[in-house]
Amino acid sequence: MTALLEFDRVASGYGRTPVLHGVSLTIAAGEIVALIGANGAGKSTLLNTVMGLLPATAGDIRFDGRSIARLPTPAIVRAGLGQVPERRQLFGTMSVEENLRMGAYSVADRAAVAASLEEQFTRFPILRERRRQAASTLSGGEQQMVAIARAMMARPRLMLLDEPSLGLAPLLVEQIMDQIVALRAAGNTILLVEQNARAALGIADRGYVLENGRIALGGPAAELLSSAAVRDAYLGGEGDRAALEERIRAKRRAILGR
Amino acid sequence: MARLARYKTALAAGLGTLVVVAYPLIFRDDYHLGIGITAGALAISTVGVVLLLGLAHQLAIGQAAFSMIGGYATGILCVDYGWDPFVAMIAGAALTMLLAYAIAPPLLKLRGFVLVMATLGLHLMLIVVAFQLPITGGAIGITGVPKFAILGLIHFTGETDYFYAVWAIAAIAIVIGLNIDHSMIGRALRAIAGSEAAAASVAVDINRYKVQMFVIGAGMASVSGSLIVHYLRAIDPTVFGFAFSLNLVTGTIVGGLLSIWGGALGAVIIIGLREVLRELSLPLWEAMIMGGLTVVILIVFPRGVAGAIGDLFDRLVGGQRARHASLDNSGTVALTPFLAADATPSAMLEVAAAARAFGSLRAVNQVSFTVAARSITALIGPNGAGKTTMFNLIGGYQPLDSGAIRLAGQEIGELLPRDIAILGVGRTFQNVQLFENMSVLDNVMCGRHRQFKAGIVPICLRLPKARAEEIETRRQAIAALGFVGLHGAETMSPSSLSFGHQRMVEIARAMALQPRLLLMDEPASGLNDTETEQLAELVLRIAALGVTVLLVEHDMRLVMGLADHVVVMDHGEKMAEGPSDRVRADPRVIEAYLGRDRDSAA
Repeated sequence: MTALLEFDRVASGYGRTPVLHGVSLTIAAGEIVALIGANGAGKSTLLNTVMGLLPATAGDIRFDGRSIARLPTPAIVRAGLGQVPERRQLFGTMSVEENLRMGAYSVADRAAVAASLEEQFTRFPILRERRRQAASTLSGGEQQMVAIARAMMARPRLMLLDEPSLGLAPLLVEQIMDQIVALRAAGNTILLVEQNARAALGIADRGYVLENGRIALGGPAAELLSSAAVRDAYLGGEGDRAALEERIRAKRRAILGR
Repeated sequence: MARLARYKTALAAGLGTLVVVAYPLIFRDDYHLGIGITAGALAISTVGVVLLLGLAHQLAIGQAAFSMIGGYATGILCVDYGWDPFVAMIAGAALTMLLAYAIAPPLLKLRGFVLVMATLGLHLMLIVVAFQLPITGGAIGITGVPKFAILGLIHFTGETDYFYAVWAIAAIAIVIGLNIDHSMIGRALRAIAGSEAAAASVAVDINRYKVQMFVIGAGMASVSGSLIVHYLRAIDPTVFGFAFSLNLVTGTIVGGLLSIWGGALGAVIIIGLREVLRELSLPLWEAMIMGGLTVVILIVFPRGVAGAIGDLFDRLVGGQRARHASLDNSGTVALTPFLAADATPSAMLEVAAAARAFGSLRAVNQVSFTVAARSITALIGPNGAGKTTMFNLIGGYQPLDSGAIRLAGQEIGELLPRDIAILGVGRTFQNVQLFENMSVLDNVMCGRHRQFKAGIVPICLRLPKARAEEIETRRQAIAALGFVGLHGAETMSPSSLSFGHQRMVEIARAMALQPRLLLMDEPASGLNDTETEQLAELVLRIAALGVTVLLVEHDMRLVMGLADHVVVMDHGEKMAEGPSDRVRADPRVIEAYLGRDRDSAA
């Protein structure tokens, strides 16, 4: 397996607060790799370190065999990495099309940009309808599509998706996950960071579990899904899941008496 | 050592007093005393600049215009009419503040660089007027201004006496500035800078505080102008020119825009630096070196010299933001609805045929539903169904196109967010909106904004009424934090908390408002199962206080477990409503929203 992205004992953090401690992982070309973990485990820190938004204080990050750990963000984008940031981070007052064009900011070839734009509208037909509309007026699901399409504009070789399911209705979570599978089928490689471990592992080839800034577990997604440790910590346990509603109902009876 | 941190302000004040008292004992000649006098007068102005630029974020650059009005008032009243200098100074300040109050409403509608240009324009106009009017003496100005005196009782004949008088007045300005900074107004202004939507949600009146800071800043600039004119014994149109204006702003930024001390320190640094360069006899290089040093200081200390000193102090003493070190948690706690005394209506919220369109998109189309008092009601539906728009209509963040919204029978469809908050509607945001620029406790204290009654004067002078209210606000805010299970996080910065805890702080802030109705926009998004369960319990405890809860949420386990009543929206219209079990079994709801595989609802 040739690794497209390789993390070699990477440490990183904010100011004097370390968050990642010697994280090693690999992503092969054509894979969907899920990175799951609790709030504050360091998932977003890891993504920001890949993109050069945070400096790696130790270790090395290699993309296609070349070290990118010391490169500035624009160079990393040009090298072929694209990020769909948490909470989408669209340019709210700009139109959908302008948002997408911003995604190809590093691409000089106008014909290539036009072709890429067309490709995104084919992928997400609803965005063609909304192309003149300000991004902030779109619904959450449509905004997520814009965020993904914007990242796709520069035709990255590796897509980093940070919590794409956040704030989406159940049906839309499925649709977004289907889109991610479709991206992979089109030859893309994807690192999917999710709080929604079930949805992420459901479509991933492999997965890693991040705990307190360290990789606690890694392996094929199906194995992680069935692992007792993952189930208890991140999936709430199969019995537990349905039971949450029951427990809330019991609390309601105890507190409100109804 | 940590105890020392509590006395940061006292230490700064002590040190400042020491320097001011010692200065005339070291520099006895009139020339150096003059420098000290100028610095003191300028410090009064720069405190005003901190209030206006640093705290209220209004890029009004024309402070010198107000100094000019004060200066000319002093010149005209003392020379032509023989007024007492102190009375003339007060009269000048009163006139300046009145003028500032009159021009503030249109002027402060402007933002950013447009405001800069507008204030510079006003300044320029004043300079031209001063050149032309007979009463201001044209280009020659007014000469023979007497030395400063107070009501004919105290005469400041020697430069040392005047030096102390100016710095005593500067001390008053600093104290007023600190009182505002540490008060409900200071918090409100920081809140506005942090998030205008969240500030409005806790009933902060944005425009009112901007105007207040503008008027107080104008008053300070005016006093500063009067004092400078008494030192110069004359005034002409060039005294308070653009260079003076620029010095004020540069000095404040170098000193530290975010702290009152920074303002005072900046005045001293700018004047001091200029004099040092003058004594080195490098007149030609003066401007260049001044400019260069300013740039270097700002690169090395982005928050100014005062910010750098504060950081150094924190590192040495080990206490950050110790303002709330003494936490009092005794006495009764008031989280129950503020307006609960009303006969509780059966319907807390009635939405009647509400509509709102964006262009051709009908985001909310003729939606009607009722939220029963003391109920937990959930609003669900696919993304793009119009739930958030519905929330924004209820909260006053967007205007209704047609239809009506009533809170406990009162029409609120036309009201602004702030007015709706005053009526007892609290809210939390989909993407948690905390004020990142203040502590967790300050965030929650902002929530009690509408219960705060003390006006600007008691706050500036820190009268017992204002102080008592401040203590009460803090006590209740601590209680609200305890209610959500965050006791002990008071002095922390919101960004240092986990996302789940940030949500809790936001809920505590909304609860501090003592709402009748609490609107929660996707409270469980981004939370794991454990946190979701804690959230559910909290919502239930809130409902048990008698608060009506309306929430938008995607986690069906939370919705079905909590809600008494569920309203389903799709494509801007109401699709179904009823008790949770009935809604869950509704085939249309399953088709449009829940999906066959209910597992994915996590």
